[in-house]
Amino acid sequence: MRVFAHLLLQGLINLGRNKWAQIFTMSAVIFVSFLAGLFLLLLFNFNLAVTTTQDKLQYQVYWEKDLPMEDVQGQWEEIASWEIESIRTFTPDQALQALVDSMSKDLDPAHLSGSSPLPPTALVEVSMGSDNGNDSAKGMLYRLERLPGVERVSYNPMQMDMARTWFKITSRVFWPLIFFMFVITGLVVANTLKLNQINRKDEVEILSLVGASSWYIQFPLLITGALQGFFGGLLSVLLLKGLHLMVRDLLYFPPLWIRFEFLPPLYIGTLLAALTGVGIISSFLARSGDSR
Amino acid sequence: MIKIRHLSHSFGRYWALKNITFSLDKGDFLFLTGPSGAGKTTLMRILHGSLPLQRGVSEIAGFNLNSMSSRSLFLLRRQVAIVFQDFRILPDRSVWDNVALPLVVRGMVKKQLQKRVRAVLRGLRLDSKSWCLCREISGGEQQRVAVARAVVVNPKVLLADEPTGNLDKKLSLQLMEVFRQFNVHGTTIVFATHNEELIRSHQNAKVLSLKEGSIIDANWPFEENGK
Repeated sequence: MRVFAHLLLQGLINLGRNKWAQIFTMSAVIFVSFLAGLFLLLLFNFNLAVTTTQDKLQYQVYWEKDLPMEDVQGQWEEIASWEIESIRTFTPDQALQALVDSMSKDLDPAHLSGSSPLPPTALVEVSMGSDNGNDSAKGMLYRLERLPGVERVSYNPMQMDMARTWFKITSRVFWPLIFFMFVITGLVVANTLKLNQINRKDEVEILSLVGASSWYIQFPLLITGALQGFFGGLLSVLLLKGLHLMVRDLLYFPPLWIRFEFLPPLYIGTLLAALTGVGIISSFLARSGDSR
Repeated sequence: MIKIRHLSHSFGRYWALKNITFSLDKGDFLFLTGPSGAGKTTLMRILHGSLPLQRGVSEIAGFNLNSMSSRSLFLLRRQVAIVFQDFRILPDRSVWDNVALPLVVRGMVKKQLQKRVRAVLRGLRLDSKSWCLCREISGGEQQRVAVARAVVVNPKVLLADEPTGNLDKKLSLQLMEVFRQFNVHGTTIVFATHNEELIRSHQNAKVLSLKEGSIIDANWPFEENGK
């Protein structure tokens, strides 16, 4: 335990040795991870914008005009409990008002109140949410059509195709791009850390000469690599947060109304874990070819 | 303590050592001599496990180098210490830290470690430089630090690869005296040098002369030409 604590401390002390080499290494790790984080942030916001605006499908549901409103309202409540994004409901009077509003403000539908010729309707919005959106869209159509008193359900098949296309684009481009970015970042960070460790080859050789075991030599190096990866990543995330605060509302004006969101904790955690892992692996590789 | 039988080693097509055979007992002092390229350093590196054994049989301090894996070499190096001509010390650490290093890696308790390091530093007249950084002391002092680091663990075998190569005559003889003192206490010493004066200064030492990787002369004062 004493030796373990000593080696842990040695890993920390190593960060203070060869100050300039450590500063350059940390800077390289920070900037590479910052660029990776920025790319991730842009990709994440693009995906968010696409999925919140483009992968939605709307169904217009028309009930029979003579159906009691209590029954219709019961069905609205039932639909609202399904896995849908939103539901907008219209009583016959509200539907008439919406129609009038869209035509001319001079018309007064007051004399038709209570005797609107329009049926009760609802606009149900669902998210495609998966690659087999075709099946789920048909399933939702089937469910809506089978509700008692529903006369007709209409939707735009082109909207569904568009939603499916967006879903395919984001799912087939987003994750491969993220994977690709992680690989590039990993390679750059790993090589930077590895070079830094090779810089300490003399020290490692001397430790080996005086009878230090492999793990005694390797453990502090792994700790140093892990710390460099983790703190490099953490500082890059802080830089990214600063940048995010500066540009968050840059596109928040009509008609875009796009507000940049920061990376969710899962993404940040993955980024930090990946950089820490890369630090450990590269430190291990820096020493692995040096067994004597 | 050391048994070498038919040891040969090549770097590609070049044979650095050819059919070397000799053995040493506890407390023996061996001078390895010969011109540059004779194979002295190669032999030292094999004995220390820095080079793999290619041909022959080698046993040192109870370790059979033929069956030793690279992961267990540290066990050998805890019994067999080495001093190089170019010191191989950590220049940005203090004299104390350098000398204490082999004891630290063995996990020795602090009190015992301090006692041992202090004694060795005093013995090599380095106690006044304990807290100086190694890059700030003279070449002779640096070499004594390297020797102190080797002897602080009381090794069974001490290998010295031209340790006086960078020192003047007076310092060389002083350092030789240090080696002799440790030898008197039972440490087997293999000392590579081509300094004839040093060899003459140690009457009871064995001498092995190498040339182009082969033994050309063996002067064994107590026996006939080696064992």
